[in-house]
Amino acid sequence: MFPLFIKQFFRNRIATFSLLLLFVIGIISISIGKKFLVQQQAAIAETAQHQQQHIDRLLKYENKEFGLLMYYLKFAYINPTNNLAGLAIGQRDINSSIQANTIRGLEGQKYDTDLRNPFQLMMGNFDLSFVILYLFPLVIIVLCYNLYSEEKENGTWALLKTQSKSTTTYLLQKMAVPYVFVLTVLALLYVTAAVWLQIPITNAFVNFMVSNSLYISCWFAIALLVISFYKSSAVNAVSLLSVWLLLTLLLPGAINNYITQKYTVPEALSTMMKQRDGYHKKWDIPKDSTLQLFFKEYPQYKNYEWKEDGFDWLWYYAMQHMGDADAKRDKDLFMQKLQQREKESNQFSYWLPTLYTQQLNTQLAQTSLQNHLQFLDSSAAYHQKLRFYFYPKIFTAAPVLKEDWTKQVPQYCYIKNETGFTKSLYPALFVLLIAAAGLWRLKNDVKYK
Amino acid sequence: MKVITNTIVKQFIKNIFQQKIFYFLLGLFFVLLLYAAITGNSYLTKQNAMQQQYQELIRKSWEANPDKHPHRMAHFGSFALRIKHPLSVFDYGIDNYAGNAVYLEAHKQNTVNYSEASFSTGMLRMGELSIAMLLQIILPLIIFFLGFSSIAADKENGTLKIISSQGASSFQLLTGRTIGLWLISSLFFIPAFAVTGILMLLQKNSHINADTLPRFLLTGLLYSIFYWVVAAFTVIVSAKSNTAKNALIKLLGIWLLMAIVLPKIVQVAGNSIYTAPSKLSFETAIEKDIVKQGDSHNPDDPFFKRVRDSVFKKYGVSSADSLPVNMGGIVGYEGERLSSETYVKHYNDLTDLYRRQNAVSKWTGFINPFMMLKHNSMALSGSDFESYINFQQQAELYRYSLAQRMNALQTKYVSNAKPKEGSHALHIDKEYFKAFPDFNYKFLVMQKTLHHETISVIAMLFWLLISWVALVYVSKTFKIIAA
Repeated sequence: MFPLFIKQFFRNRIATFSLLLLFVIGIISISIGKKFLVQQQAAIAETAQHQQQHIDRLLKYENKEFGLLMYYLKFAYINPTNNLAGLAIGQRDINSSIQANTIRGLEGQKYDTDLRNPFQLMMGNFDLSFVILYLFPLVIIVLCYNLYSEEKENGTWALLKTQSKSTTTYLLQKMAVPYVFVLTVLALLYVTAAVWLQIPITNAFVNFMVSNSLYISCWFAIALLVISFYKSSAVNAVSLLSVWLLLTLLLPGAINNYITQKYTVPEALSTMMKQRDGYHKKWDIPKDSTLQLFFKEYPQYKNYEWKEDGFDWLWYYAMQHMGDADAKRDKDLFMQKLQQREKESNQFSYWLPTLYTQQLNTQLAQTSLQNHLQFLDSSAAYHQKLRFYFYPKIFTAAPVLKEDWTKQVPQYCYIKNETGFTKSLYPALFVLLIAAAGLWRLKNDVKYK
Repeated sequence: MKVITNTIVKQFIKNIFQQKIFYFLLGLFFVLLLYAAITGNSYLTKQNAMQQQYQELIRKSWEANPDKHPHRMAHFGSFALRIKHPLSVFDYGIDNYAGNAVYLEAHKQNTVNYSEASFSTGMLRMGELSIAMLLQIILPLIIFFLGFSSIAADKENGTLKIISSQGASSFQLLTGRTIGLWLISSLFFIPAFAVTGILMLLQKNSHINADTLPRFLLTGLLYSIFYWVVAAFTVIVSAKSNTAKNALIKLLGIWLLMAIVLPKIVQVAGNSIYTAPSKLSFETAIEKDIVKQGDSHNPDDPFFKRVRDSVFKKYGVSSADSLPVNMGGIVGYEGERLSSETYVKHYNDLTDLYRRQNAVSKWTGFINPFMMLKHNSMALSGSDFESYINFQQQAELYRYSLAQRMNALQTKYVSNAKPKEGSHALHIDKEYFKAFPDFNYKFLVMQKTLHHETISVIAMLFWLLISWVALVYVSKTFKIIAA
């Protein structure tokens, strides 16, 4: 029976064409991912090179006062891009993977964005994740919408009912052909991506392949369910497209609207303002009051000397730090707000295979909001490490040129990927439930039994 | 002749009104419309109220400063917060991908941060539900659903012959059906505009100005034209198809291609053709240019030496101590002028590059009416790329005038003599700071918006013309008897 189905499948030119098109578009999306990775790597290489030049140039003129040099000196901190990010660019184009901060107040620096064309950001990325989430289902719809109805409309269905033992088995076998071929296209794309983007076979990549294959299976289950109503081709096409519209555009859009209007983020603005005021307004109050606050937080610097009259670097960096300290409460609330958004999005995603797969893909590729928030935390830790290293040198006015500046190369932030295998198997639940409903209907539809 | 067309229109509408699916689609559309309107409006009002509140707090904080050295105030700086256009409740455009706040300080042009997208989990990328999105993506699909069989079904069941025998020409038939379908679509889009209008009127402290009404009316006209085009092509595809089913499949394919797939692919192509520099290369290029002209780190820099010499010459003195004006203020002024000019030059180049990237997408408006609609719609809603650039430019201008005002104050009122330690001799009266005006963001005027959107506006007229030409052409080749 199978060879016959395959023959029949490929006799349909639209089927061959759409599978081919899907493959080509998949390859294009991988090439876009490749370009993204190359750009990221180039930016990182550029950063490392620039840091060296930046230090050298400053050392030429600003080599007398440690405190003044540190006013200018920027230290790069990098959130490296996982090669899997080429398949799910996620929020990496919006949130910067590279920071270059001075040891002055961090809250005024770490939210700085990359330069991007906002219209481009809105149109979004054409990565493999997009192709899988949006375009694969469309091809599945094209291949499956008339599995039953074409037989009915061509008049072969009546014949089939008398000849085959079970029309359900017949339909399932017939659907197995596009299923196998769509999965083959997907597998070919995985292999191409693995080779071309040099993605190592890590747990994350395996999880990616498994969950996305399950997502694809989910759409076959949906097609089966729609077919089980034994409607005409036109009705099936319209119903499947409506489900697609609902799952990929309308429901995610509706949830997004709900979350953004529920959690506006005034904390971002208050953090920004408090940091500025916290630092700048310290110029207007006695030195001693600022320094006491600083020593309270960092008693280890209590015994360093500072002068009451005129400018003093210990006082200056204490003021800078107090800007961050004054903004800390708001910053914590700000981060909590974003965590709430993340949490609520995740809860919604358990109901929608599209949203779930999208979230999971960006988690696996480390291109999610969560990843960026971790990067921000880690960057604060790096900032503190730098401050603790340089504070004593600034406070004692250590000779600038005695310092080994070649050690100051860009540092990397390593965030562990903790997405477990069960998370990637979750979409199987959708597949099983929907397919079971479809099968039950097929078998029990009295009219056609 | 008019009578026959009228009859065809009436008969088509009557036929639609008899279908249950019509009421279902209308109901569904209204539910989505209300949801999009309510959530969108809630977000816009909250966001604008928040931005305004903080802009006021920022001003208060500025005015609360005591007497101090003006250069301290130049570094204290200010913030520019972006207010959303009242019409953006209709079309979010790029708003959620554009930054909302920028810190304005001397010597440094900061990035505009805190875009909605940077707070988003990525769900935002899957789509936003706005009134415009429903009108741009969903309503065309509904028109296809309601119109795919408009001619093809008659062809299949032979009613076409009856209509023909009653004396209707093909042209009358096609235009009549198009008018009918367009009128049906108005039952969807007129309420959408009514809802938008009501929301704008209800917005508290709304930023409605003299431009808002013409923008709103033009948006209405734009969408009316778009639906006319959609209705015409639905009828044409239906007429050219042998069966209603074929017509539907073709229309769905067109919709997918033009509304979903092409816009994205085209933008990706635009970005590949014109590669934008990284932030670091952008900044490094500016730094290089500035250093070439005058390096403020270098005490022997020829540019700053020239500035000093020319000031000495002007006042006939040989050292800064005997100058009646403040040397630091003058050098600061020149340095700021130089670095800002260089920055603006590079910034304009970058903006032009982005414009070229986006122009690729705009030009496709001539082959894809959905793209023509998208660009025109967000431009009129004040949520397009140019509106955002306008904000950035105003913010930079304000930053520059703040820094230069402080430099001027320093030049005029701060003495050159080194004061005694701890004295406040270098401070100037806080009233000078209060006298510096607040940031006052003004929306791009409509004339400029239309100027930026010339391509898309012409594309709109082009489609109006093409739909007419196509109706005439198809009705000439279309044979009623062929069924």
